[in-house]
Amino acid sequence: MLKPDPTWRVRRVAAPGLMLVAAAACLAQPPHAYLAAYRAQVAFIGEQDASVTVALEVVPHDALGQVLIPRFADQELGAIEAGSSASPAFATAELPGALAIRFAKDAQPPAPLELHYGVHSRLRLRRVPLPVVGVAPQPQQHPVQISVELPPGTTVVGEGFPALAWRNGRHGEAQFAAAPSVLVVESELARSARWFDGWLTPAGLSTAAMFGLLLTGSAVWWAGARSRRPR
Amino acid sequence: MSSLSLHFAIVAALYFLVILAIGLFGLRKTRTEEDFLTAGRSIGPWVGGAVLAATQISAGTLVGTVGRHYATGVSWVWVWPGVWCGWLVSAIFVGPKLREFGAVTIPEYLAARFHSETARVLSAIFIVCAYMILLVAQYQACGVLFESIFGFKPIYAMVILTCSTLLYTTLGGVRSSSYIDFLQIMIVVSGLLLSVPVLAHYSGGVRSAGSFLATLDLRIVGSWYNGKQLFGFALSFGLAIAAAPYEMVRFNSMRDKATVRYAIGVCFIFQALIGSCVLLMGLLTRALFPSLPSPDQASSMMAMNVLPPLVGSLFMVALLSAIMSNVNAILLVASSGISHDIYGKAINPRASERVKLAINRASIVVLSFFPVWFALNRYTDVQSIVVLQTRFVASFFFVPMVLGLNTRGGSSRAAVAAMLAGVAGCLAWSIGAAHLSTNIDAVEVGIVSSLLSYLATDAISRRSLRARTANAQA
Repeated sequence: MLKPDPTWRVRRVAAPGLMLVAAAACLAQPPHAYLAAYRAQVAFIGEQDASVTVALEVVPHDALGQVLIPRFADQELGAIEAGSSASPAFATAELPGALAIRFAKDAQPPAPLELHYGVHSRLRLRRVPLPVVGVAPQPQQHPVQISVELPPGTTVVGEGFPALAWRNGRHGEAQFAAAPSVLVVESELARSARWFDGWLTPAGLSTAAMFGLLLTGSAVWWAGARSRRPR
Repeated sequence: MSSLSLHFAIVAALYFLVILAIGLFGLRKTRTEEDFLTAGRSIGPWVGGAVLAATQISAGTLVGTVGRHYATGVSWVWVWPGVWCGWLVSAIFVGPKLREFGAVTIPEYLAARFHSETARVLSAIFIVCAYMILLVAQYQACGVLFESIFGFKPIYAMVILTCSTLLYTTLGGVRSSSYIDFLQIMIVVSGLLLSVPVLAHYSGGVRSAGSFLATLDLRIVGSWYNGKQLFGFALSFGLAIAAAPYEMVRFNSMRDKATVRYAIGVCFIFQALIGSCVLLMGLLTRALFPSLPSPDQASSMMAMNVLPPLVGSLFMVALLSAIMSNVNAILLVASSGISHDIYGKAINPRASERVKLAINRASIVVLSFFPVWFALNRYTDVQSIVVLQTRFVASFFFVPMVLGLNTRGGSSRAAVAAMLAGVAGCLAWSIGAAHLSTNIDAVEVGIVSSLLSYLATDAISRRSLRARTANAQA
């Protein structure tokens, strides 16, 4: 005759108990704030200027906090405009590495919040700062859309950041799982662009270096194996 | 399929063809169980050093540590001195002596050193349990990676990982995995070295990124953790590495004592490079993507959106390979515990080499699917799972391993008491004192209880032995 398993009572109580604890833990968690939408449109104007328009939405609405726009040494940011239909009260603060946009406690920004500003660079403009918030998107979502337009007569050269899909060498766009703080685009005048320009960008150089390292490593390995082989 | 997915698929296919070839080479050279577990003790210092680094540099480092630097900033870097101290202890007090001892597995060493079959079985069972926790971290990281690249459900990623790792683990054992580890560490190091300048360029230089990070949260560039917390983390990693069974199994595959020391030196070079790059990668990725849904996504976001497609794909393949290498090392050490120590010594000591090899391969298959459910539930981030596992390994193994190798005393009861007290102390503190802000880490409690139990039980055993001898003489 089969003996009853002495642990069956424990298992019978433990399994539903654990499930109840897990369910209670899930219910007790506060709802997370998340970035529901982020659409950035960047238009390059000439060699040194760009105009940025960003519409972003955070859920719940009051979890937005401050918005930060990174600052780079060779650049100046133009006046910030916030909101298209309603204009919320906000203040900007110049911090060492960023410009902070803070909204008055009693005047919540509209949803979605729309920000508009210009960027001027003393040198050729490659790096455009984008606004970021301290709220992350939900996992497995791609709520961040970025579109870029280069001036007529110019073309994109090599890979930039973040990786965009380009049409006609002038219009780039892509969707991402998180909002980047900067957009980096390498461009050239279309008539003076050369076939190897893409290889002279950091992305091209690092790809070439990777191939170089792999080839050198393989050659060293092969030479070592050959010298160890009995003659 | 996006451009990166296509690049990744091509690079991954080429890479897996290479590892299949190496696996078949390993299969041709493997004849006995000892050959399977120690590669015929033929591995040299450079491959050995790369293998040690590759065994330690896993998803824990390339996903977990990058994620931890991403979330908490610079201060996590102070964990590395703990890791290096662990390697130093291993190089001086553990590795060469263990290699000289000649045991095939850690439970075998403990059984021989303390004349205790209980120590053998206990340590083999603990190895299986503790390393299943680490396997959860690897599977979870793999799920995150595949989700980011292809948008796959994590379960598919885990099944792919398990099947491909099974292939080369069951085929060639330690020999093939050693050569694959060497290849993988080379790709990881070159990928890391190339990614840092690209990241720095995009974020406007390290100084610019630093001031932006300070604006995000001053603790990122200052101290996120206090000294006591960091000491606890560093101690966990250091002590676990000094006595980690899956690292030690690698020593057994090296030619001799001198090779072990040389290999640990080579491993230091790899780790210094990787540690610095991982720190910069975490920080610069935070500057570029300040709010990711999970810190564990920092590596994959960096590879997919920052690096050029070919370099990014190669980096992701290396990352996947690091996970596979770690899964492989864990499976080898856990399955050897089952086949060699539990089945071959405790259950059926007359088992033939062929039967033990078959049990070994079968247990690899069974163990590899076991942690999938836990990984799918994602209880916490990858690095936290790794920290949990290192605490338990250090508390269980450090005292009996290090004292056993470096002192003459120590009875079988002392070894068993040290292992049980260490893990019990660590577990009790982890559960009972989690809510207390004592700043005492569970590993400190585990090690102290293990050491005290070892010394106390040893003293009692000696006393009773002396009394018995005196009685016998009388």
